[in-house]
Amino acid sequence: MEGLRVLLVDDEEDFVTTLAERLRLRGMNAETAGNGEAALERIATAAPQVVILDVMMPGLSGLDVLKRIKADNPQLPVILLTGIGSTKEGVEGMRLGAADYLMKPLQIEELIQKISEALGKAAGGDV
Amino acid sequence: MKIETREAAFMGRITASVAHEMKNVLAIIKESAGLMEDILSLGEADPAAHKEKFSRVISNIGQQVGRGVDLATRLNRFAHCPDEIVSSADLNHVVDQIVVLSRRFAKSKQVSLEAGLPEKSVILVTDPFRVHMLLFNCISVLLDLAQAGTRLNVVPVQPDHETAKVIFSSEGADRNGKSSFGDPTGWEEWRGLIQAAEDLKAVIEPGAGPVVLEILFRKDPR
Repeated sequence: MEGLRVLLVDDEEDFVTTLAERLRLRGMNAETAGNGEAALERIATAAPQVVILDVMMPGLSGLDVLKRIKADNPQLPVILLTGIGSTKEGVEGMRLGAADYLMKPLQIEELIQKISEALGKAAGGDV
Repeated sequence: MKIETREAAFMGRITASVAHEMKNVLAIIKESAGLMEDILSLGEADPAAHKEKFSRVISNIGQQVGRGVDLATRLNRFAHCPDEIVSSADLNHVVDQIVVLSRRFAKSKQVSLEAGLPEKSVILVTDPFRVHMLLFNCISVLLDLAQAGTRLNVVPVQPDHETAKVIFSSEGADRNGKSSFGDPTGWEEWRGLIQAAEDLKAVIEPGAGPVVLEILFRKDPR
C-alpha cells in the first residue's frame, strides 16, 4: 500500500494527526480533515483512494458525509469509525454504502486489513 | 428509590456522552503509544533523532490522561447526585458540572457552552439530581434552538439572601425577551418544572434569535 492516498476525517485532532503519522510511517500518503465540510473539499481536490470517516462529528455527521460521497463518488471506499458502544451507526453506514466500520480505540493492523479489503472490493476482486 | 423513565433517560444520555468522550481519550492515548512504538520499530535506527516528536507525543498523552481523569471524576460525582433526595448543594458546582457534561451535545450543534461562575458560593438546600436534570433540560432546549457558531452562557446569581437564580442567555440576548420560571418545592413541582423546561421548545420559535431563561430557586424551601 505504498503511496496509497488515505483521507482521515475526525474532529479529534490529536487522534487523527497521530493516526495519519502512523500510516505515513507505513508508506501511505495520509491526509486529515477535521470536519465533514473539509473532508468533502479534500475529496474533491486530493482524490483519496480510501476515506476513514468518524461517524460522530459536529456539523455534517459522518453518515451525512458518507451519503454525499456515495452520491458523487460511489466507487470511493469509506470505512467508518465509531466511538459509540453499539454497532447501530456502523450497520446503518454499511447500508448506506460504507465498505466497513471499526470501533475506537483502533488496532492499526485491523485498520490496514480493512483498508486492503475495501480496496479489493472496490476493484471488484476477492480479498 | 423510584426512578422514572425520564430520569433514567437523562442519566443514560449523560453517561453515554461521557463514555463516548472517554473512548476518544483512550483512542488518542492508544495511537500516541502506537506512534512511539512505530518510531522505535519502523523508523530510523536512532530513536534519539525523534526526541522532539517523542516529547510532543508524551505531552499529548499527559493531556489526554488529565482529560480522562476529569471526565471520570465528573461522571462519578454525577452518578452520586441522586444519593440524597434533599441536601445542600453549591449551585456554582452544579452549573459547572452540568455545563462540562453537556459540552459534547453543544459541540455537536457547533455551539460554545460556557459557565460564568461567581467567586462566592451559592448554597441551596434542594434535590441535587433534579437540579442537574432541570439545568440540562434548559441547556438542551436552548441548544436545539441555537444557530451554529453561537455561544450559550449559564450563570448562577444570588439576588438576595433568600433566593438564587440560574440565567441562561444565548449570545446577544435581550433581557427584555426573557422567560422566567422556577421555585420548585416538592416532587410534583419538580416534575412540572422539568416538563416546563421540555415544553419550552414548543413555545420558543426556532431561529427566533437570542433567548434568556431564568430559573429562580428559594435557597431553603423547607
